[in-house]
Amino acid sequence: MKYIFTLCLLTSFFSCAKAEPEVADCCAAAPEAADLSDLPDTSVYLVDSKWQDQTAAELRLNDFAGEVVVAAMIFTNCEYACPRIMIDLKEIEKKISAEELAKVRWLLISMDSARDTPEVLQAYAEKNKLDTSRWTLLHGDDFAVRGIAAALGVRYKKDAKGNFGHSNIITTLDVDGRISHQLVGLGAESSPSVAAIKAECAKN
Amino acid sequence: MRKLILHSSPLLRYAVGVTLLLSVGCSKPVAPPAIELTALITIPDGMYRPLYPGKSEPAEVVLSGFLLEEHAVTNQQFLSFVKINPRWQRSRVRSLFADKGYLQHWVGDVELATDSELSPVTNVSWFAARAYAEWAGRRLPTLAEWEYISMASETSAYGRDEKGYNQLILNWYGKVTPPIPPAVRFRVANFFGVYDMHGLIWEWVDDFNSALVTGESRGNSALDRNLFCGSGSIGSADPSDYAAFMRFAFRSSLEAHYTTRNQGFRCAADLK
Repeated sequence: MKYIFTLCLLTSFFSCAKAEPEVADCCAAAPEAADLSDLPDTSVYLVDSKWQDQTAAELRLNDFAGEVVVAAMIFTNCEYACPRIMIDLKEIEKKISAEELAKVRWLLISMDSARDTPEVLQAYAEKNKLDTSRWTLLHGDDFAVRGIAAALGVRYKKDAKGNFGHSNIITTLDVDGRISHQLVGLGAESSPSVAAIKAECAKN
Repeated sequence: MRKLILHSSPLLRYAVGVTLLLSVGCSKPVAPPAIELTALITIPDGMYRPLYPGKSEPAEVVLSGFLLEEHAVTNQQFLSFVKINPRWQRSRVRSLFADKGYLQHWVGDVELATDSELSPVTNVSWFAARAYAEWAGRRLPTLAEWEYISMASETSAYGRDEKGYNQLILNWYGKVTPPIPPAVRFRVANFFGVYDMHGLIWEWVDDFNSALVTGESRGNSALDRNLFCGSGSIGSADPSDYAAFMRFAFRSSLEAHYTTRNQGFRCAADLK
């Protein structure tokens, strides 16, 4: 044990004495999480980020593997587009059978890291009468949000008032997190989205 | 380290504690493996004029000070990263994160082309750039930060008001990209002490995907949609800044897994 002590001291003196250029104090290996290794190469769950749901429970995107996911990025202060996305999502939901609905997870990912806390998302879920056994609302930091937006091809920009311009995209993911279909634009004809969800449900 | 301290004997705990204290006393933290990161330049607070301010936004935005790497990440530096992180090697990278062009100018997974060590790494995706930055304990610069620094000439923070400044950039934009760009610090540093914001490569920014061009719904959509057509620069804050307009148009065409042979990146960091 004494040797370890001496060795540690020596090491620290040695490292002090050397004239090092700027060196990373980080830079350890960051391997892929073990439970992601079976995911296909195009799964968006490979963007391994940490989130909180509306109950403040911590989760990762891969926790949704095994379910057919219908995802949209929103912010709850949004006055125009996001309520319309909610209307579109609910229209789609109406066209899915009860049997299929049991396999579907509806995911609202907030791009507003600053304001959309779990509490705010919970209130939003209640206001919109969302069944939180099937609907999950996600809060993440800017890094997590930028990453999933990039994977989903969602463009967004925060303005000076803290609101967002953003693309309106409803994404259907298969049970492995691969993009099965994307419905682009508000009030778009939703039947391709419905068909994609039904097809993914039928596979599983 | 925490686990080690909790579960080890009191003497070892003491030894580790002393070592940590002594390490703190050193001017530079040293930890294996020793990777040479690019020196960071301190950028003071400044005013930034967005090329496309939203309708509700001010013409000038206060930009808080930050740190920026003085040159782009080199092939050599990126090689260190992929050696330690094999999942970012060419043959192993997930296609979600990078297209087929990823690091295609390298000879192998961990082998560089001759004399390319000090050239900026190119053929890297946004995901790969971001992974490097995170690994280095840094981040990618924001679009505003990058554009702010790119406005500087050698002698002033607002070089774009200088005669011939834009022409120099546009001349470069018109040139054919060599397969492997010249080494970093290609030209003299700008006013801030930062090298090669123009003239060497295009660079990823963290919010490259903030240019709204499709499916946009809010009030400023007409303005942003103009990004793709030639008359777009008329709607911008500074119609003479055609170079900045080109960068916005280029970024708006990118997806996060795209790689191109003239695009690399540099890291930024927050002021402590």
